[in-house]
Amino acid sequence: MNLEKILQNDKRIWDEEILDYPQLFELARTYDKELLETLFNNKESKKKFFIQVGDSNEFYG
Amino acid sequence: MSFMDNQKLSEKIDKAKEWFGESILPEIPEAISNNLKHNMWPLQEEAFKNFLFYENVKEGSSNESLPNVEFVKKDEPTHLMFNMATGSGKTMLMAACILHYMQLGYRKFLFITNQTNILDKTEENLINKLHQKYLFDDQLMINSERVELKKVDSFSKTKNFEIRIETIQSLHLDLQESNQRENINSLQELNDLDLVILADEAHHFNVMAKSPKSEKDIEENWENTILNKIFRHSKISLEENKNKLLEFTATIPEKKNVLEKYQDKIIYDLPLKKFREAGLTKEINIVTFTLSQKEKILYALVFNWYRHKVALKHGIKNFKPVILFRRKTIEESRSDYDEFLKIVKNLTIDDFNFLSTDIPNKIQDANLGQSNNFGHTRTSQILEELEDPSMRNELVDFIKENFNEKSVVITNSKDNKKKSESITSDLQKQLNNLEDPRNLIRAIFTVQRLTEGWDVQNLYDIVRMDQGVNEGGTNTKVAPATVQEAQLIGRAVRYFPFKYEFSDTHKRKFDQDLDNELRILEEFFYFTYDVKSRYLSEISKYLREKGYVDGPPIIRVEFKDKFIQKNKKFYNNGVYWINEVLSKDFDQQQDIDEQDLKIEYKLQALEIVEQYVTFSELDRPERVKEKTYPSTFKLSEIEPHILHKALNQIYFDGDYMSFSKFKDLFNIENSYEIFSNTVLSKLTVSLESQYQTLDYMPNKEILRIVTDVLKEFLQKVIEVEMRNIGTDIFIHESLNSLHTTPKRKIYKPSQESKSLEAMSVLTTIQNADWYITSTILDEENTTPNFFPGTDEERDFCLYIESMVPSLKEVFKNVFLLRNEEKIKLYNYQSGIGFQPDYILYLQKNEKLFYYVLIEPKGPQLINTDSFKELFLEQVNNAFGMNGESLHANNFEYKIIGLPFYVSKNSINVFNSKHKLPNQEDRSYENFDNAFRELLK
Repeated sequence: MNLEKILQNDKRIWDEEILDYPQLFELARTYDKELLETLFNNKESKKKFFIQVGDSNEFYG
Repeated sequence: MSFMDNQKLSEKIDKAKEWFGESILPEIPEAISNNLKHNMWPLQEEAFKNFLFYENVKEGSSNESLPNVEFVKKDEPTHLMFNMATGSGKTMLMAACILHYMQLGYRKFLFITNQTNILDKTEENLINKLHQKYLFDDQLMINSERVELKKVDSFSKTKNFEIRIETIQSLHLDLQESNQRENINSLQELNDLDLVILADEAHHFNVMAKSPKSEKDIEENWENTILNKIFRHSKISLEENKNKLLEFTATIPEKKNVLEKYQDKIIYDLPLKKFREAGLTKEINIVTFTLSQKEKILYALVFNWYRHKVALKHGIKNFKPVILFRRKTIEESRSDYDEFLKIVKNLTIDDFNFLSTDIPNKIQDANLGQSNNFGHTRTSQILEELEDPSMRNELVDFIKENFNEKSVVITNSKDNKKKSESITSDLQKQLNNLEDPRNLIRAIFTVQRLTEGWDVQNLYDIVRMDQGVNEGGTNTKVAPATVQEAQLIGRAVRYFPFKYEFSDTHKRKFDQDLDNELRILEEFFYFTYDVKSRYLSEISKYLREKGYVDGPPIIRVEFKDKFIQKNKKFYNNGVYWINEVLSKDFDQQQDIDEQDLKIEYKLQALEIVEQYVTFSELDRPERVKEKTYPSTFKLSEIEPHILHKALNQIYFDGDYMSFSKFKDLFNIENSYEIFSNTVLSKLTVSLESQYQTLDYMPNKEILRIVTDVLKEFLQKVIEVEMRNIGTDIFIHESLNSLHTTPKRKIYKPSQESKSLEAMSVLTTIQNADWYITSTILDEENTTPNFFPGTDEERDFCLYIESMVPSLKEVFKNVFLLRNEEKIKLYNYQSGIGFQPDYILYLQKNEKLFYYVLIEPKGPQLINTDSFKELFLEQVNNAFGMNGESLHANNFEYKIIGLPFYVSKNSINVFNSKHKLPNQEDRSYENFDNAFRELLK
């Protein structure tokens, strides 16, 4: 899974061409809607970061 | 003997610059700048130009503007020393020197140092193209040919460009007759080559100069190997010897013999003090505490978290502060490391209770200097942040996430049985690259593994886990372990570059705003137990002597108590006014002024200086000025390949300007559109040069002009793009909120500000009931021995003093407030913010205030800042005597903008020196008449 590619359109987490890791972790920590949607909408990242609990999916990044 | 005999080589070059002008220094050739990945910083450029000047004179360059100075030694091989502070970028200079010699045909480079960890780092810098810190351009072009600099263990007999990267010890041993091997160069082979020797941390090589011993000792030492067997070998005469020896160090040993040895070799001297004063370092703080081992660790972690929080809040990218825990012994360090991981694993919010109960009583700032005593201040800021209970949970989560076994390292392998520390080369590489966004290391436990050659930008805190003093010192001599600790602190002063508004990425940004929460990102903290021992005074003394700490004083500005007591109603109900700002989309056609599209450019290096001059002759040589011609051209007339090359080398604040930035700015699809479909196509350059037309000008000069012009213009465009616009909606804030916390700033007083006259003005304003703030030296709580403002401001205060009797006849109250860069207004058209220097409150009656904006201005700035005067006039028209009234807390306000205050002397200077050709004389009455109108 190429996480950088999956997240390439989210301008908030890029410093020119370098991924801004502290910002990414902060967004993940605060369950940022946009980030979670991006990860959820990609098959591979959904599998890696979400777990199905009953009818819903729980983010465990 | 000449009067310059006792000066360092760098001082002699400075003298030459003073006498002949800066133009004697060569420009940095494109062949070098194009082959470097990043541009040099100004101080590196200065150093490199000194080097080029020396070498060009020595080689008898054809540049006729070079004076033939005596101090350049033409009859022996070049031996120079770059004496530059840690973190000032010596390796970058080394790379530039390598390129210079490659251009001249040198092909064999020998890098030597005394430590293995420096070898790795150097290899990453000079050889490893994939490394983040690789210094050369991806493709090296030497004399129009693609070449490669290869690392070798032994120089070949080919014409390949090769570099050997060795420790001095291994080189010395390899050259011993008993160790001769087939695949290693013999001394004979080295002597057959024209070598460029680069010696890093070169202070270690001074065995002979430090302590001359017997002939046998000399024969067997490293310095002799380098200096006499390789560099100045006896195979050929010194005149014929083409070897070069360039030494690099931050610390030349302070021994008479060593200093004498280097006096005529120090090509550039950049002491840490100068580096620090240029704003290129962090500021060091030492905090002493009486905390338990666990509390020490948690306290440092809280600082780390707070920095992370502040950086995130302000959008500082990839900010990842690192803590170092230092110990005297490997066993203790190992035990600290284990304990640390245990603490983090079991961490709960209750572990931080000690912070709110007794931390203020258990910490103390060491008295290092006013800009270096911020432990208490930062701790208070952190505690304030932690008052919100949810923050404590966040803090615990952050620590558990970021300080686990993957990100906490110890500089000693588990299986190491030796007495000294030992780590894997992989860990060494990671430690050399802590700034890399992918590097996970957040905390390091070490004894003394990390000393020289380890420059880290994001090391922010060192915790000394030992409690006692260091042994081995005397009353006159600092204990060696303390010197080592001070040197370790020196590793951390390197500035972590970050972008913030329009400030220079690589420089400190908050010297004038010390209480800004971002300031902690440019401060390093050393935490140590040991409140009153000799240890602390020793380490402080060492840091002070080396220029790491101390500097200009900090002044504190706050409302005078007397003013508050006597004018409670005004203090509580009075307001200050600011106008609202609106963000707007950038429109290149509308937002770029016609004026901005016309750029004037004077091609430099037009002066020719007469030849051979010795410094024993005191007369200055005559200068001959070459004829220059004016010409005008549009950027669109320049050949496309030159325009695109220029575009590729534009560099802002440490970064190249990427195409994505151009694309967004100008809304274009590809880079070719930039010169045809954007405002750049209208850019006109008025040029003054020695060429009658562009046709006669060499392409490299055109490139230089176009690059400079584009950079200036695009910088302006970026500023305009990021700008908001000021509106005529004025809102108010309480006056008493202005100095809720006093304004603190570093103030560097001029000689003039200490004059008797200046002191008399200071006494006047400190005692006056109409001047409502006081200025105090922050630490001493005493009045400063200087006037904290410009000459123009001083004169203005005297003007107001002379007017106060008349003002008091007309107005119920007169209050003058110096705006300590806190009240900011935004220009209507351009949106540029500015802070009027003074606000004069004139209370006409129970209900009405005149709120007068005043800007004293030096003659040289009157035209540059004319937009401010225009804005003041616009405000005056809209909200002045005849304009709309503003209301706040049952008071009516008239906002009056006055013309610039310019003193009588400055008026004359402006009219005679700074006035533009078609501009009318300015008169003192401009301000005075407008001011006197208020009395009517």
